[in-house]
Amino acid sequence: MKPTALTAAAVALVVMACGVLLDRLVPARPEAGPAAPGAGSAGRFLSTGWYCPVPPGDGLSSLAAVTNLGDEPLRLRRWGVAGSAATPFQVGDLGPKDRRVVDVKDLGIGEGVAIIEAFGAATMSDALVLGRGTGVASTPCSVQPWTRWLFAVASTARGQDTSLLVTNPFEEEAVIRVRIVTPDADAVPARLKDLVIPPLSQTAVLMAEYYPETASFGMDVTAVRGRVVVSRFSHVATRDGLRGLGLELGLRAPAPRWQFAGGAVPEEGDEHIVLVNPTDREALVQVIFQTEAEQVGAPELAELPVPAARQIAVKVADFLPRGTRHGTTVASSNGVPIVAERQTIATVGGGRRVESTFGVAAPASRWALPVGSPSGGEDSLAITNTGGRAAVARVALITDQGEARPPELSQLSVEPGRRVTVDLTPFLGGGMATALVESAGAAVTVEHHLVLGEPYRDFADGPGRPL
Amino acid sequence: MAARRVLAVLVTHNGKQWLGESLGALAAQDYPALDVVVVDNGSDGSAEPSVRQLLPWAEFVRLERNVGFGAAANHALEVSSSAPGADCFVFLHDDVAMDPDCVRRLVEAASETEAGIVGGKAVAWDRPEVLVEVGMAADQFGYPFSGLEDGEIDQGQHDVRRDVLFVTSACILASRSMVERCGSWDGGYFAFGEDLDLCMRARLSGFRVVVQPAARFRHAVALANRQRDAEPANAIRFYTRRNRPRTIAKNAAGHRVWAVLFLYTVLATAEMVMLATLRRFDEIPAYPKAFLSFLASVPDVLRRRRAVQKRRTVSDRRMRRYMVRDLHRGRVFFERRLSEWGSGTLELGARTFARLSPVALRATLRAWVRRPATAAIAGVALALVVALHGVLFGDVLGGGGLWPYPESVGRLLGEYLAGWRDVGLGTSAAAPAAFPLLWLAGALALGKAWLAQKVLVVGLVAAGLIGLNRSIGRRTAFVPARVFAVVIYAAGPVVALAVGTGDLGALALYAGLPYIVEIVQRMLVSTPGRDEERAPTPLTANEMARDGLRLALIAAGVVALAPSAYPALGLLCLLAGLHSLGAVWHWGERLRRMLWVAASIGLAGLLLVPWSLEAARPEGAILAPLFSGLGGGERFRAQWSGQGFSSMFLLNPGAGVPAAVVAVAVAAGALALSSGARRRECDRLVLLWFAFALAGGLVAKGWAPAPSASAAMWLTVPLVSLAMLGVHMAAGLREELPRHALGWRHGLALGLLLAVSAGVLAGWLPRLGAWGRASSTLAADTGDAVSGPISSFFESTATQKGEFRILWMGEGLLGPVRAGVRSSAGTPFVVTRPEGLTMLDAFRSSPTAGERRVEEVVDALLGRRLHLAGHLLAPAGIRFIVVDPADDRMMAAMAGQRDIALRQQQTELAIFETLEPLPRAAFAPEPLIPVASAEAPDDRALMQVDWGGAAALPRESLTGFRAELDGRTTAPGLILLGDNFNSGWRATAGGERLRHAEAFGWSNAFVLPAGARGAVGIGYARDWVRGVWVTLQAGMVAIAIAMARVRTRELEGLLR
Repeated sequence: MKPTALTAAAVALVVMACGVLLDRLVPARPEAGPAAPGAGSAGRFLSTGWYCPVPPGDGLSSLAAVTNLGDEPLRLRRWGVAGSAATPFQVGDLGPKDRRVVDVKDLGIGEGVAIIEAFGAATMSDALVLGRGTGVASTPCSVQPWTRWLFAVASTARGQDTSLLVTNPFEEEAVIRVRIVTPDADAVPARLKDLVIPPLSQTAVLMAEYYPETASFGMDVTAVRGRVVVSRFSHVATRDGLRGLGLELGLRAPAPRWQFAGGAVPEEGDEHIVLVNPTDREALVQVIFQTEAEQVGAPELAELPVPAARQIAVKVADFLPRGTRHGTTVASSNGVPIVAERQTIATVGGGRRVESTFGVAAPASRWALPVGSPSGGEDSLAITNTGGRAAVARVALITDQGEARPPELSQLSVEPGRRVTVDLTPFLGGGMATALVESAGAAVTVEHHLVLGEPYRDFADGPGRPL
Repeated sequence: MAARRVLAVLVTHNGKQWLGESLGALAAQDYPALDVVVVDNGSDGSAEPSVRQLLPWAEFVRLERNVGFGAAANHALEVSSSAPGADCFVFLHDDVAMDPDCVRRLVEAASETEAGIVGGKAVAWDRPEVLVEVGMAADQFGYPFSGLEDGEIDQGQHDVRRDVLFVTSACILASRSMVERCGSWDGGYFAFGEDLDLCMRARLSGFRVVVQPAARFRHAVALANRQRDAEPANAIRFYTRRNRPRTIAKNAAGHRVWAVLFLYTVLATAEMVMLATLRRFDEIPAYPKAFLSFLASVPDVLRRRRAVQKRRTVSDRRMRRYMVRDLHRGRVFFERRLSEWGSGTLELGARTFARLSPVALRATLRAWVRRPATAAIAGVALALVVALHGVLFGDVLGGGGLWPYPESVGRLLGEYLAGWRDVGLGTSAAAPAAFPLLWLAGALALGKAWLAQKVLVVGLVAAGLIGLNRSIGRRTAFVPARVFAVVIYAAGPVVALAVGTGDLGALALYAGLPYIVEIVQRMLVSTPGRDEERAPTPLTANEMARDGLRLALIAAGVVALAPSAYPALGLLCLLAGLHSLGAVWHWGERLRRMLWVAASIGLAGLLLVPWSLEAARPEGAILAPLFSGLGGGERFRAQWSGQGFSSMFLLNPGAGVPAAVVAVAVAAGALALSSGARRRECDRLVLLWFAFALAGGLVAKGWAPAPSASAAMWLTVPLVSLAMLGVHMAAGLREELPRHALGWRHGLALGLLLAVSAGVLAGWLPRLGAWGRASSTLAADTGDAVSGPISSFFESTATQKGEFRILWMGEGLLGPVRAGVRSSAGTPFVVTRPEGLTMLDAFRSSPTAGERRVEEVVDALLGRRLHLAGHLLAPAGIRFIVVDPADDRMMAAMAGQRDIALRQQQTELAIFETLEPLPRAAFAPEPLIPVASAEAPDDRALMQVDWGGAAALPRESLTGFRAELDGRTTAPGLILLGDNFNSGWRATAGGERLRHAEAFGWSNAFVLPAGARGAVGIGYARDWVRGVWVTLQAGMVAIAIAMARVRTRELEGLLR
């Protein structure tokens, strides 16, 4: 054995030991990961299909709007499913950053579902329902049928009609099951156990016929066969003067975190955060409010238990002064996914109006949301920053005249844990638009709040759609 | 009745050695009416004095030059004064000595049988008791067949007068009537084969050919035995190979002549190949020379053929009763080899046969039992059985590179031979060279896929261990060292990883690498052994060639199953070559050796043609998949990016510290305890280890191209290095330590040994029981799943609704699978036929236009940028999409498709069906035509097409679509064929060939003209170029195997 042999052995050992060191020193080369879902993913946008529910009811006017979010022109194909048949296609083009509104009656649909297919660019579609003397409701259209839909809020109390609008856009029969979750019970009404939804049809399930005279409950709709699109349509006209029109697309899955960018504790009325736990484990939920001045939490809301298969409601006025505009974060601290919905009863034009809206599961840096109405009204945009860093937001509006970037909306600073409210009314010109919100520095959540005067006298809230 | 007048024609050419006895025998004939004419066929002048002395009454004719036996005899008939009056002619060679009654008996036989030709019994010149010929037969190629054993003693066993195909021209009686009707000898033969021709002509004209054994003569067979000095060495081969096709061409019936001539040419080519393997290159030119000579004689042959066929009264079928029906040369050859094997006198047979003989087997067994290593080997084998229990006793394996066999094993070979691969979306790219190997394994397992897979897995592991044992046997006879190395190689991470995932490529590399490393080292430097200090002897060119061929063959076998191993082998040779720069050779020798190795690795690629030629294409089958990150590359990167370097350097993926201890201790021990040539080899092995570990780490981290290799493949070179280092460590312990007084060295050695032992015991051995199959992923069970009810579902759907394809997607579904899998947006996918995932889908070439199209669709689908994926997948004939239900992102993406519905959902897979499927072959209605015929597809248009309007063509084999138009398709129309565009496709309607066009930018469309009626058929024109390539490859492989393995003498029997 010579010294050189030992040296060689020592060098070999050192090199081998360097393997561990190399693993620490040499980073893995970053590479493009899988495309994220949604319009923001890389690659050419080929097509999207939007399913816009059209509720039944006399005197209601339903509009379906589609916005081209891309820089390329696209081809549109619009049709509808009414009764048990599809209406003929209407084909058209839509320019880049352009928006088109269709009265669903023009598609031959009185009630049912309007289907808007866009080929060639990313789009967003939403529906607006107007009823003279009844109210206004807006909802994003569904981008896909699914096997599960969840709602935290419903009521079959006297004067409150809640219907599930279940759309089956396929040529094969679907079967659904509706589970009711109340503060005290969890049940599947016998007649809602295997409800058949015929092919190419929309079925309005009037909940009062199946689960009558219940003040508040959540709904968990499961398609045991096929895929459906489920919306909740509510028409409120109580003896005590409460009125309102609501149309909401359900949530496809519960989540451990929900954020509401908008919300205000009304001077007269109430605001509730309604939580439904559809799982079989108790959820421990923390609720935090972001006002325009500070972030507010309460010890009672630090670990609020939501029992398995139960519904609870948090009255916001117990924690914030009336008149406070705020955002809300609902987070399940033990990871049990829940469904959250905000229900507001407020006075508009001298009458009490009710509205429910969902939150979003996560903040994002790009949002799109419909704002305004063909009948004018006031629309405001709430931007809430729940992150740890300040965000700077910029708002662009896509109207029938194209894209507009008002300078006043190009530099909106949102401090961490704060909410900013922007009045969009001056920029809408009494019409409809699609607002594009981009934030830098931190991700935000957005929500709009539309208030219509006569003859509608109602308000409608709606979260943005992340891009 | 007066005796028939006989003219004996004796032709002599430099035959004074036998001529005296021959003339004497003629003089002694007891037949009274015998005239003799002796023809001196260009001899040196020694014949005439003998004739004048021994047969003074005979005529003597002299020719100035040798014109051949037949022409000389014909000349004698022309010039002899006795010829016109002769009733019979007896033609004689000058090395024939007849018994005194021979002519009489021949004439008697001719008279009694009215035969046109009569021959006698030939016995050996020097040993008259030994038979040479008693009438002859031949096979259809003109190879003569005597029916006698070599050295068969004449005991009267053949003494029956009978009809035969022909008799030897050495002593043959021909009647005048036969000669006048059929003509005399064909002078074009010169030598060999003219007797068969004469007799066949006689037979075809209705004359009998009879052998009369009572007419005996001695025959020296001087020309065939090369006893005539003047004959050139290759003359016999030239004349026989030239004259046989001449005989066939003249005498075979019209419907047979071309087939027989073709087969004869194939046989001649095979003979040339065998000569090449024997390195008897000087004999090969006789074949092309004979062929050219035959071609030059074709006008003469045709003229003579016309005459023969004009006189023909007997069919070939009746002739066949006198011929041997099989290729008797081969049969006789193998019969002799078997006979020699049984008797233990084998001389020319293969060494393998010798080793397998009962005697040798018994001796080998006895020696084995007495060897101390037997117990160790039995222990290793037992440990392997325990480790591989999951493979040996489990179900059919899937995943990795080892997909289930197709329903018919023969399809693997069919795909390989065909010009078109019915895989994925179809491709004209050459099938991989792995298919014949896999087919062979399947065929040997009698088509039992489960058995074939187990044989493959276990066989490859065993081959690797045997190879390593052989290799280290040349380094040391110290049994514990060999056992130690084998244990390291067996218990290392490669087998565990590769068997668990069915990684056939890694196992192939595992099996071949010990041989490759050994050969490369031998070629470049030398193998250190007990005589390590002696200066190595340079290898001769012959030895180098043989080693190079072996290296090429083994490398080709490995690369066939593991394409990504090709650059790895190149790197290995490069590193070894660089290290050999320090060897003892002078520069010229170093360069020569490196060139040999480089040529061998290059030859390995050449042996894989036509598949390896794909590399020359812009999107080649080899280079593109290797470096485009397809297959296992991405998964290897994803799985090992966190511990790439440490795992590769320390050989411890998943085994933790104990395995690292073994690696470190063995490397240090080998380097510290070896010296001389051993030490130099240790340096080389450490260099290989570290280089591959570094490269593997860089690949895992994403800083080097990601070939479609697995971690197991990257670890194989370090592992084989470690095993060989283990040998040197153990040998060093035995050889080095005794030279030193007890001291710190011994302490170090003891410490290293303890560390190794502890590492093996704590880290590797406990894992034995955990080997076997991968965890029960769907990919591993796909074979079972698809062969069950799901398979039936797909099959019945295909039967009812037409041929379709299946798109499989998802990491959970295809995670362990590497071969053949594409990737889009980080999600693996693969397109298969209705039968599901099989080996046919593995070893895919680079993406075709159609597959890129599917990739785009999958990308858009998963990115939620598409809601009508079914419409875009329809032109590819994809009807079902099978995904992993645990992948929420994918399930959500699928649920977003309006034209796709969930059909079945199980625990491990969810099956979606496109709602408007377009069958793989369909009639397109008019609204579809503008879209289909547009070469550049417009997605927006495609997504708005009503595919349901297309009518399926019935499901048949891909190249056998048949349908009747029966009025349902009104012309003009299209037939869509959802396969990658290839000009080889053909379609006809009512007998008219349809115009072929590209559809959707990648697929096939056939345009139906207005008014088309009748049957429609689709087929693929066979690619004859492919056949040429495959034949060439088979020939090259055969030559390489023969030159590398077969001893020179072994094939001589066939060529005699």
